[in-house]
Amino acid sequence: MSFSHRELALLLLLAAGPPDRLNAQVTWTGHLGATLTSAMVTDQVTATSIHLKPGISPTLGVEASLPLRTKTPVNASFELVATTGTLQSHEGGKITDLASMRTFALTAGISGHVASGLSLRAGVGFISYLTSEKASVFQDGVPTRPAATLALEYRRPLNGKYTFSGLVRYDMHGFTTKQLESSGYTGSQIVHRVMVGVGVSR
Amino acid sequence: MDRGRGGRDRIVAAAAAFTVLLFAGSLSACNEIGVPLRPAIYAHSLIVSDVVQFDTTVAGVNYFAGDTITDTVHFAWPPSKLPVKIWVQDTAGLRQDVDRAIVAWKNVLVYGEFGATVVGDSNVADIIVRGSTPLPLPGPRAVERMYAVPASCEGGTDVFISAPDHTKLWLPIRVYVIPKFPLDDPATRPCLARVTIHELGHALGLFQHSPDPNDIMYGFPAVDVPSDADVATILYLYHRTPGLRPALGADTLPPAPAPSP
Repeated sequence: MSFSHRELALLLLLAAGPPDRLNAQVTWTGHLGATLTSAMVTDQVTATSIHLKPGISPTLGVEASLPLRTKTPVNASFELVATTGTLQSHEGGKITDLASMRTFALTAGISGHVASGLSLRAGVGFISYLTSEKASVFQDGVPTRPAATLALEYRRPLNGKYTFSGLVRYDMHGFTTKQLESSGYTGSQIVHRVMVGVGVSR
Repeated sequence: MDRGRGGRDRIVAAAAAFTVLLFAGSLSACNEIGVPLRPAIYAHSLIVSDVVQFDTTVAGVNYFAGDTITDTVHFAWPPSKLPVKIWVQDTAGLRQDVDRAIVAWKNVLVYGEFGATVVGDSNVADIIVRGSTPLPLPGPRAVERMYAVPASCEGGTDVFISAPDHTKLWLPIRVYVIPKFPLDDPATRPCLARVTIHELGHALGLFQHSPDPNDIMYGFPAVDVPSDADVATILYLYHRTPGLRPALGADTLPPAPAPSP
């Protein structure tokens, strides 16, 4: 058994925006918030450790969800989350700005109600880094990495058309760059990000 | 219809399980990136020695005429001075060599320890790079010159250290990169390129030569990029306690105190 061709086609079209006749089924949610990110690179050169990570980053998220025809009511969900911030070096209490950076995380997943007003979303996808400066670990370019996400969302109707949404979102990915690889760094560092945001659904 | 929904439920459950397994697998995996194995560092500090000319006090420390003051000093550009401003004489492709040298050092200092920009006004430069021929004579006391003399070209870097306190490095640092043979000699251009990286290494604070010919900071540089030992040494230098602090140029040097009657 699989999803019907119609359902699959609809899901794919959601990213570009569904036709008007589907809007009744699609729930659009926009979030504004802030993201806290764990260290992207950890090193130790002398006695003190060096951590590269962005500061708290302003975050914008857009999600489109569509109910699936399943016995358990779940939604298919596509989400794009963008952050903007500054990559910083943290060393012994000293913080140095290295480069501006932005991330775009695009994930597809499923969501379902877990309690009154609460829903849980899980998804997988990709995260892309962008920077306008070829500096620090981004000197040889920026990476795109697989990512996984979990989110807990609280919804409360505002009126007949809009719903308030509060969100705690977590995602993770393995971080490395060509610059790090060419400098002899191996593997990748698991980066954890937590976003807290509020928004509106329609 | 119910069979279809049951199938979809299984797919959804499988997708959820996959995601959970992905999380669990990632969390159990090694959490941090593997840093490169760094070899032992080589000596990079400078030993400076001066005879005190007059009784004087600098920063609360008394110095007495005739005393010999010897210190081991090190220097790294502080973040507040980045990007370092470099003026380059327009000769013999020196600008391109300096650009490549900046990239070579920036590439190995991935934590933002170094940045540089080429400026058009030598009056505001922190480092002045010239291709003058011949290499000028070293300046007065308190000037330390480091040479590099491979076969086809030569280089020198002059650093000016405050005396007798040995706490400040007067700017600008002066770098010379000079061909020994015509530029169309096939060995000249590669020599100039690697000596420029070598001399910029001195200007970054690597004040001694490596004993290993595989390092760019070897006295007769024969490699084209910083080696692992070069990287380990400059990383150590830029992550240790600050030493000399850069100070504005010679026109701001404090006047010599009048001799005691």
